[in-house]
Amino acid sequence: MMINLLLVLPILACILLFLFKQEKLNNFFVIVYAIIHFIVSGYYFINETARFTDRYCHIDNSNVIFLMVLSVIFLAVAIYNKRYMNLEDVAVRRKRHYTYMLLIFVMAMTGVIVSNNLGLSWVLVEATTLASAYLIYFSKTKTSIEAAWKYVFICSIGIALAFVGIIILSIATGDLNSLNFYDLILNAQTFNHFWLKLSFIFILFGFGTKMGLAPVHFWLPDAHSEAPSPASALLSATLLNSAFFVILKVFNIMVAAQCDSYARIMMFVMGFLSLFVAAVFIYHINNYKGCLLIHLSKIWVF
Amino acid sequence: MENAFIILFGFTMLYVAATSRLAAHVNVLVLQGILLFLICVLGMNEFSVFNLLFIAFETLLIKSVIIPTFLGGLIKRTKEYRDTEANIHHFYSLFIATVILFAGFLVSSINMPAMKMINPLYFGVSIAVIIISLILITVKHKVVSNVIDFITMENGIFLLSLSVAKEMPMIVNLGVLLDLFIAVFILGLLVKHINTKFDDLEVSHLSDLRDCEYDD
Repeated sequence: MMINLLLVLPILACILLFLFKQEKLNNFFVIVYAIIHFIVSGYYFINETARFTDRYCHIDNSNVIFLMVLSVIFLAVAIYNKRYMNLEDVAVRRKRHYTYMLLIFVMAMTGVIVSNNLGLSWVLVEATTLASAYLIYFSKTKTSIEAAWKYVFICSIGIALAFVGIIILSIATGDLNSLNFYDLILNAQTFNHFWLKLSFIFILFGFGTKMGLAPVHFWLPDAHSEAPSPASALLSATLLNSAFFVILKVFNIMVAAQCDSYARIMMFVMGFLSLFVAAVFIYHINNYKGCLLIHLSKIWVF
Repeated sequence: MENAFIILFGFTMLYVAATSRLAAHVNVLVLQGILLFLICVLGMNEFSVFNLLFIAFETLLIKSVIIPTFLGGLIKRTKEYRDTEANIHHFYSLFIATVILFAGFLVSSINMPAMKMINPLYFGVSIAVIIISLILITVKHKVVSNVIDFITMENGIFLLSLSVAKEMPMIVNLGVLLDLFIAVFILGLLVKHINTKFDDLEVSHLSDLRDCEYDD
């Protein structure tokens, strides 16, 4: 299937890059992957009959728009990245590492968006953290190491709490032994509400950390402003969407289980708090890029 | 029998809260890995060689050999042997940890219908371990001890996943293991870089980045 191409291609590209170590291959692979990504996503976006659902992957109306956004941004980043890398005066080896991580980062985000299994989504969200850590640390300055440390540490703890939420969700499911989103939504009526509500708090906070919702947003302005511009664009325009997408999926389960008023209140509180924090900080900020990023990311609250 | 090991697992957190030597913390990680292995094996419903091998690989090899060896090497290289300047005195962190562990035992003895769906002792102790680890992360002052507390939290989550009598799909289990392993590895590398750039491993150095200037 075509979607598998998007998940296998970056790994193949990394292996080829590792074997041949040519500097020209860096940009070549990024641009080829971006173009193929764009074509495949565009195909699913236009052709409704091609959308499908299987055990681990699915493409449907809910995620095709996220996939398309990722493709468009990645294509733009890939074009800009070529010039950025030519201007950056760094060792060839570091440029190669940067390319590995960029490819794996985009692959993991694609995986989060098309994944049909909550457990697998969790694994891939954590993979995005680990891959983008190097991108943030790319300039190797004191401030970038601080940003990378905060990013990896805060996000890993947040994601670990999201895993607690997933375990509690699997308590709520009772006899159903599956984390597949379709199974979960189909059987949501039978879930235990106490455990389901508890799990939603953990999942909202866990993936909310990754999405940069207040009050667990502290890594976000630092990491985004320290990352090289192409990586920064991917972080703010696509990574936050992927984390948001997982929250949205779990919210769908809450709706199916008729706990949605509770979930709405929780999401409203976090969203409002994020807007409030952004509004307060935006007056006191001394870093233009950070200011812009906070503001842009908070638009997601809506 | 596994209940005794679970309680012992809870008590290891008290040791982490009370001591400041980082080498001792690493030894606790080894002990926790072995305890988790014993708890898994004793709690196994049906015996299969493949499961046993996977559990042994996950708990014994990764959690109690590879990660502690890596952290031990890191401590030797950075020459940071103690975490003495914690935000609060060790006595108080021991006290807080004890209270939380006690609350964990209380939770496991609550008698309500929802608790019938899980194994209560696993649940209470693992939640206590997770909360104690989170508190210790905020209290400790060295980045290495933060990494160690992060791993104890992951161990707590591992115990929590045992409280549900269901198995995650293999691909998820492997993914979780891989992610934890790589996260620890990356954090370890960052610790090394922090040590060379900032000369020591105090967390307080990592506060140069701030978005607004406070007038104080």
